[in-house]
Amino acid sequence: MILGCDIGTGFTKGVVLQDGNVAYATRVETRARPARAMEAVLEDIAAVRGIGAGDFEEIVVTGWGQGKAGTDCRTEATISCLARAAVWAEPACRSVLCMGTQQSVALSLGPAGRVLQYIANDKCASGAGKFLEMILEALECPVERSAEIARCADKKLPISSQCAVFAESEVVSLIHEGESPANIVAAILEHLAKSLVSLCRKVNLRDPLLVAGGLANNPQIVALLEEGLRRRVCSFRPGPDFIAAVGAALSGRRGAA
Amino acid sequence: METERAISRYDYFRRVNALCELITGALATGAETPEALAGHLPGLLQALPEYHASLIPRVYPDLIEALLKRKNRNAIGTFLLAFQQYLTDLTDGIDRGSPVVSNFPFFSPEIFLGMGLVPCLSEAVPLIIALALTDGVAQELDETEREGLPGHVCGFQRVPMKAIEKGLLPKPDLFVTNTAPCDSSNIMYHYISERLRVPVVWVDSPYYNDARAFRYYLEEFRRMVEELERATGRTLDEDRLREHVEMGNEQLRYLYKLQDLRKHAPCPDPGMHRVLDTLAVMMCGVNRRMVEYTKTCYEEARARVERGTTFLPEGKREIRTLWTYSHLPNLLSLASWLEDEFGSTYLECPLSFLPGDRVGTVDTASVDSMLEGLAWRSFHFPMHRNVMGYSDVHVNEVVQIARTYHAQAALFGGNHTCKYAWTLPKILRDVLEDELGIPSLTYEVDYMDARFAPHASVKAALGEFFRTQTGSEPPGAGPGAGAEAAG
Amino acid sequence: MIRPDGDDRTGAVMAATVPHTKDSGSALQELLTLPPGMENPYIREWKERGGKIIGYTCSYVPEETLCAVGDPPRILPVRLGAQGCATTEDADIFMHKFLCSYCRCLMQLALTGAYDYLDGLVLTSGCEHMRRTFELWRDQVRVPFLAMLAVPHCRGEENHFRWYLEEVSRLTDRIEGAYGWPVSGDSLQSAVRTHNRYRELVARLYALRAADPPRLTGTEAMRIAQAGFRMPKEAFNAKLSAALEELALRPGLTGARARVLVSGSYLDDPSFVEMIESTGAVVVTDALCAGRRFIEGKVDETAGPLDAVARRTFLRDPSCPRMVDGYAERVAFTKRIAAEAGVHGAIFTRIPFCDSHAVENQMEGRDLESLGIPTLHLERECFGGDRGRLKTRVQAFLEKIGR
Repeated sequence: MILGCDIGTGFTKGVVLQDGNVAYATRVETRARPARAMEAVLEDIAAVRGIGAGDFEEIVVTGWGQGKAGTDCRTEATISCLARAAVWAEPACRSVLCMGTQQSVALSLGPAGRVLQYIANDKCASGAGKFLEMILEALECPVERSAEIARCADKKLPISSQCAVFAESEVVSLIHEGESPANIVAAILEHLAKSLVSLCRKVNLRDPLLVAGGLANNPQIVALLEEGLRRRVCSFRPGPDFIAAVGAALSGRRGAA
Repeated sequence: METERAISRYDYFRRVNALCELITGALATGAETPEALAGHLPGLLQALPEYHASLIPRVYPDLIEALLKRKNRNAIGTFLLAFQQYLTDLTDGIDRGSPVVSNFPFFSPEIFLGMGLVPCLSEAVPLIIALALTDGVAQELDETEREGLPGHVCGFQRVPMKAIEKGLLPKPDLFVTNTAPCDSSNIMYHYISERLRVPVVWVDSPYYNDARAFRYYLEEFRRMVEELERATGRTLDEDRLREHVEMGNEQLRYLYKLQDLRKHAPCPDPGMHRVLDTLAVMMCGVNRRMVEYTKTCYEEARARVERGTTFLPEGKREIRTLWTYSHLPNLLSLASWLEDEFGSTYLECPLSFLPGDRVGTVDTASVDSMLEGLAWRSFHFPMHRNVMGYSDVHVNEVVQIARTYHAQAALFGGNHTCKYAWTLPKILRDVLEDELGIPSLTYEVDYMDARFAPHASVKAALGEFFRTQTGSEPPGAGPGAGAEAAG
Repeated sequence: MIRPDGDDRTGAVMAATVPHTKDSGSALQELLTLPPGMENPYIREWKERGGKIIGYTCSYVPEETLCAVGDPPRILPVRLGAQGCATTEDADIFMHKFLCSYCRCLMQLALTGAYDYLDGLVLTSGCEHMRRTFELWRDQVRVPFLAMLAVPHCRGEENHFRWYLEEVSRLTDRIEGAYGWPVSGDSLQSAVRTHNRYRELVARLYALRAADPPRLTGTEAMRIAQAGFRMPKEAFNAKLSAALEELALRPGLTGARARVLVSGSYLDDPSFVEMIESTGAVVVTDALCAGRRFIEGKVDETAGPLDAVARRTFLRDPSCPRMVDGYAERVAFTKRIAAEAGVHGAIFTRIPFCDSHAVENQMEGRDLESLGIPTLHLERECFGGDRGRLKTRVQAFLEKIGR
C-alpha cells in the first residue's frame, strides 16, 4: 500500500494505492503551509480509513511543495508523475494537459508514456486556475457554478488582455458597463480555454489527449478545449485533481517491486 | 588635495575589485568547502580592507560552495586574476588621464588598447556584481524603472547607463558600439548619449552574414578607427596593436581546442566558468592573464581526457546538455549544481561558443590585415553572428553542435528582454526532438535580475526536467478508476 | 464626445456594418468605410485584373518602387495592420508573449487566412519582433513572394545609403525576376509624382485636423489615412481631394474638452483613437509612423527617381526611433506639430515589449514636459480591448491638466 501526495499551491491531494487500485483519495487546501496540509491528508486517511503513516510501504510526494512535506517520504518529479498516471489510466494516451491552480502544463508522450516534450505557462497566471478564481471572485460567482452560469450567456464579449491583472481590470469595466455575469463568465472561460489551447498546440499534440487538474472538473472548460483543439478529450479518472498524486503512488509501486 | 584613485572612486570598480580579492583570497586558503573556509576567514579578513568584509554577507552562498570545488576553483581563480589585472590597467589609465572608451562588449578591445585608449566594459563590470551579490544591481534596475524605462528594456544596458549617471562607473569620453544585437542596446546607447552629452561612435551591423555584409561591416569598422583617432587625438600603434592581437589569437587558439575537447564523453570541461568564457571573449587580448585563464581551462580539460577521469560524482551517468540560448549569469553555480545533482554536463551555448573553423585567428602581418581580421572576428562574435540575420543561423548552429557533440538534452533559458530569441524555443524544441530525439526545456530568466526568476524556481524547473529525463520507464496501464474521492 | 454626425456607434462597428460605397456617393464616406482585404473593392478589382498585391509593414519600404512595377502598374502595395485581430492563440504557438502584439496579430491574421489575398510580402529588419516574424511567415504561411529589406541603423555616411539603395534595387530585381515586370524610369517618375501629390493632400487633411475648430475627428483622420494604404494612390488622391472639399464645408467640431497629440508605437486602430475621443478630447495631430511622419518630406522630382525615392525614404526626418541618430530631428518634429496644432497635451502609447518606443517616448515626453506640454504614457496591446482601463487613464490625465 503506497501513499502518493501532490502538494499543489491550491490543494494537497493524497491517493492510497493498493494492489494497483486507488483505494482512497482525499484533498485539502494547502494554504501556503505544505507540511500542515500533508499532516491534514494523513489525519483524514487515518480518520476515514484507519490507516496510519507507518502502514504505508512508502510515501511519495510530488508537486510544488514536495520538498516541504515535513514527513518521512520520497519525492518524485511532477512531470514524470503526470505521464505515469496518464498511461496508467489511459494506456494509449499520447498527450496530457494538466490545469492546476498556479500552473498548467501540456505534455506530449511517446510510447509507454516517455515524456517527449512539456511546456508550462511560465510566470503567467492567465492560463491557470488562479486566474479563473480571481475573476470569479470579482464577479462573486462560485467556481463550481461557473459552467452552469456561463451556459446562460446570450452575448459574446471579447476579453483581450493576456495579462491576468489587466483582464481583471477589463472585467471590472464590463461590470460597470452593465454586462451580465453570465456573459462575462462565459467570456472569461473562453479566454482561459484559448490560452490552454495555445499551450497544448505548442507541444505537437497527439491523440488521445487526457485532461486533468482542477480546471478539468469544469465541463465548460472541457467543452471549449474540445472545440478549440478540434478533438475529443478524456478526463483523468478517478478524478482529474488526483493525477499527480496517483502518479506519485505509482512510482512508489515500482520502488517497492 | 589628492584625488581618490579610480579603483576606489567608482563604486562598481571598488565592489568588483573587492570581490576579486575576496574570492582569490578564499581560493588561496586551499579550503574546498564553506565549512573549511570559515576557519580561515578571520585570517583572510585581517589582510583585507574592512570594506571587503561588508560584502561577504551579500555573496551568494551557493556560489561560494561551487567555486571552492576542485573542478571549478582554478578556472575561477585565474579568471579573477585576469579580470583584476584588467581593472587595474583600466583604472590606472583613467588616473593617468587617458581617454576612456566605453565599448559594447563583443567589440574587439585590442583596437582601443592599440590606440592607448582605456576600454571600459561598462556592460561587463555590472555583470560581475550581478553574478556574485544577492542584491546585485537591483537598485540601479529599480531606479531606471521608476524613471519610466520598462523592465523589458534589457538590464544589460539599463544598469551600466544608470551606473554611469550615478558616478558608480566613469563617464566615458566616447561610447563605441555596434548596432547589434538589439533595439534595446541601440536605443539605450542613444538615450545615455543624449542624457550625458557623450558622443557615440556607431558601427553599423548589417543584417545578413554573407560576403557583401562583411564588406559593409569592414568599411564601418575602418571608419570607426578613423573616427576614434580624430576624436581622441590618439593613433593606432601597430606594435601595440599586434601585441594585443597576438594575445587574443593565443587566447582563442586555446578556446578552440577546449571546444573540441568538449566533444569527448564525458565532457571534460565543467560548466561553471562558461559565463566567464563569455567575459573572456569580450576581453579578448586584453592581458596575458586572460590567455592564462583560457589555457588553464584547456589544460585541465585535456588532463581529464588523457587520464580518463571526470569531475562528475561517482556513479553519475552523464547527460550531455546543450544550452541552446545561453547561460544564466546571475546564478553562476547553476551548471555546477546540475553536474553534481544530475550528471548534466554543459556542452556549449551560443553566447560563449565561437566557431573556430569560421572565425580563426587574426593575421598580424600588417595593420590592414589586423583590422580586417578583428572586424571579421567581431562580425562573428556571439550576439552578432547569430542575431544579425535570420534565425536559421542560430538554429543551424545549435543543431550542428547537438549532432557533433552528441547532445542528449537541451536547455533554453531565455532572457526575457532578449526579443530576438523568442521564436526560437518552438523551432529548436521541434527540430531537436524530430531530428535528434533530444528533449528540451524552455524557461524564462533575467540575466541581471535574480528576482525575475528566483534561483529556487530556476532550480525547481531544471530539477523537474532532469528528474523526468533520468526517471525510469512508467509501469504501464493500471486499472484506472478506483474508490471514492474525498474532498 | 465629439461626433460630427451624431452617430454614437463605435468605429469598429461602423466599419463592419456600413456597406462600402465605392464610387457611388460621398468620397469622404467611402474613405471612412473602406474595409481591408478582399472586402475592399479596390483590392478585389486589382486582383481580378491580374495585378498583384504586395503587403508591407514598415515606412522604410519605398512604396513608389512597388507602384512603379510594370507599365501599367501591376503591383498594389498594401500596408498591413493588426485591425480585426482579437486574439493571438495561433500565433502564440510560435511566438512567445515577449514579442509585440503587432507582430503576433499579423501572424495570427496570416495563419487564419485574413491575408490569403496577398501575393507577396516585404518585411524590413526594422526591429527584432519584425525580423523574427519573417522566418515564421516564410515557414508557416508560405506567401508566393517574400522579401527582406535590410535597413541600416545608421544614416550618416554614404555607405549607409548605398547599402539601402542596393537593397531597394535587389528588391525590384527580385520582383522582376518573379513576375517579369520591370521598373522603368518613367513609371517610377510617375509614381513619384503621384506619391508627392498624396503627401500634399494628406498634409492638407492634417491641416484640417489642426484647425480651430477641427473639421474632423482623429478617428476619422486615421480611417482616411488607413484607406490610403489599401487602394491605388491615384484613386486615393482623387477621393481625398473630393473628401477635403466635403470636409471644408463641414462646420467645425466645437465643444472639445482638449486638443491632444498622439505618438508612439505603430498604431492603425481607429477604435483606440475613438477611445481617447470618447472622453471629449479630440486628437488633432499625431507623430505616428503610419500617420503624420509617413508623409513628411517629398521626393525630389528633378533627380534620378530610384536614387531620389531611396534618399527620401531612408534619409528623411523624422526618422524611426530604431535609427541610432536623428533624435533631435524627431523631437523637433513632435514639438513643431504640437505647436502647429495647439495641443493641450500629448499621449504617448507603446505596445508592450517595444523597446525603441518605450525609451523614445520617455525621451520625447520629458522634452515636451519641459516646454509645458503635459504628457500621458499608455501601454496598449494591438488586439484591442482593455478600453475601460485606458479610458479611465485618459480621463484622469485630462482632469489633471485642468481640461
